[in-house]
Amino acid sequence: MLSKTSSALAGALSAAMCLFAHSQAEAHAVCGNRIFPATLGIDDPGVNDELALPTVTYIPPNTGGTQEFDASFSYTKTIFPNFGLSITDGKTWLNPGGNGWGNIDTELKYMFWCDAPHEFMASVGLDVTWANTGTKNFSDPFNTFTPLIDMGKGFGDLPTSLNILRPFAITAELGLSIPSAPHTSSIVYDDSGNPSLNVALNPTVFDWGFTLQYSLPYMNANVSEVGGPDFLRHLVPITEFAFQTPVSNYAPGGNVTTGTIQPGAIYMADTWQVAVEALIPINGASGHNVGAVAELHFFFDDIFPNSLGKPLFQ
Amino acid sequence: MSRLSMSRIAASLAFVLVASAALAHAQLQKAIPAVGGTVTASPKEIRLKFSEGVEPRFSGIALATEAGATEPIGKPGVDPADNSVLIAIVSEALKPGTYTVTWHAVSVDTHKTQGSFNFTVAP
Repeated sequence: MLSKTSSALAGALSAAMCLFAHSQAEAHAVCGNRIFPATLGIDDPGVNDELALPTVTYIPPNTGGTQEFDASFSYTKTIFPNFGLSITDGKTWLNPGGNGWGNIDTELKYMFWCDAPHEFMASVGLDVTWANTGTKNFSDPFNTFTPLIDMGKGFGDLPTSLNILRPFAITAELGLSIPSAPHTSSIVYDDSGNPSLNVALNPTVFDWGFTLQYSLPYMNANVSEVGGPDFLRHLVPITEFAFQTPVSNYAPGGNVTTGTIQPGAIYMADTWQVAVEALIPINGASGHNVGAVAELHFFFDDIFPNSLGKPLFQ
Repeated sequence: MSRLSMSRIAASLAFVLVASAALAHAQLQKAIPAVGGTVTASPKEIRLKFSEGVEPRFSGIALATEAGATEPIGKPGVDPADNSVLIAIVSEALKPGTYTVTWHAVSVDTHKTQGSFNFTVAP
């Protein structure tokens, strides 16, 4: 079974790679002296030609005894400079519980502000998770529309007397996930085979999060030389905070904020990066054990500057 | 996962990595005088080592005192032996004090980057 599903995933990944090879496609979220790396818990504020493949997540057994493993990809193509479309999908394995693909997710995003001297950038986007595009029982039968805003601020503009703080940057994301259907009905059967109608509310959820990052590459280039092995000059220690708060149409007692705190590190090479973070649930409703997430990320504007890595329309 | 599928994915990723070998944003890796460093005598040149080759026609270096006054330096050029090294001659001996180097670079694949850093000439 595992071999069969893995082959399906492999086939999908190969197909995705072929698709990229036949399409036309900037990477790094760069504003002034600052390069914001791609982050895992929330999106970065840039619009780039990039590929995250794979993003893998492990969530250890929760109170129900189910452990989870996810593998996903995300590809972003710039249409115009600073305006791009991304597509994301992934597969989940539950043990026990089987496996399946989630709904396909797309996002249109526009980076509308870069204040280079102050290393501040912001973008707006509309994310849509499309109904019934995944495996039954692993995907929702309704669309979810999420308008969102992403921001990033580097602190390189602090006075040199605060040099130690200048490599810091923060990014943040705010979004509102609005389901297209207020509730989902399904027929469930009890142990005796008697059917009953189950109605689940689909709440509107406020998605919010931020990251705190300390860029050693920034320090090495703009503040003071970073000694030691070259490895250190590519490292960005980071902690991400990603939360979800139901704000309307939730079941009684269902407005509990869930989320994770994600300490980790990002290694930034010239054309790719790899990130590894822990997933620490903030409360019992978010989980009971520490998981992990990792991602390999390719910057297509650097890898294919004259083809896949540039906007379709300049 | 079948061996064939794994091979295809590995080959695809290897292609991406190989294709990336010579292209990227030019990021400052090392500078002479050193970023944030102190020198005991006026430097004769500003030497910036980037992660990628740079185009000297579209790249620049400026030098200023702590008060913001511009210090004259020569037109930057690349090291004939290494196009990832941008060099500008310091025209006049620098007095003791703190100086700011501001640079911008266009890599050989046309990506733009910029940065600035201080160094100090000790009394």
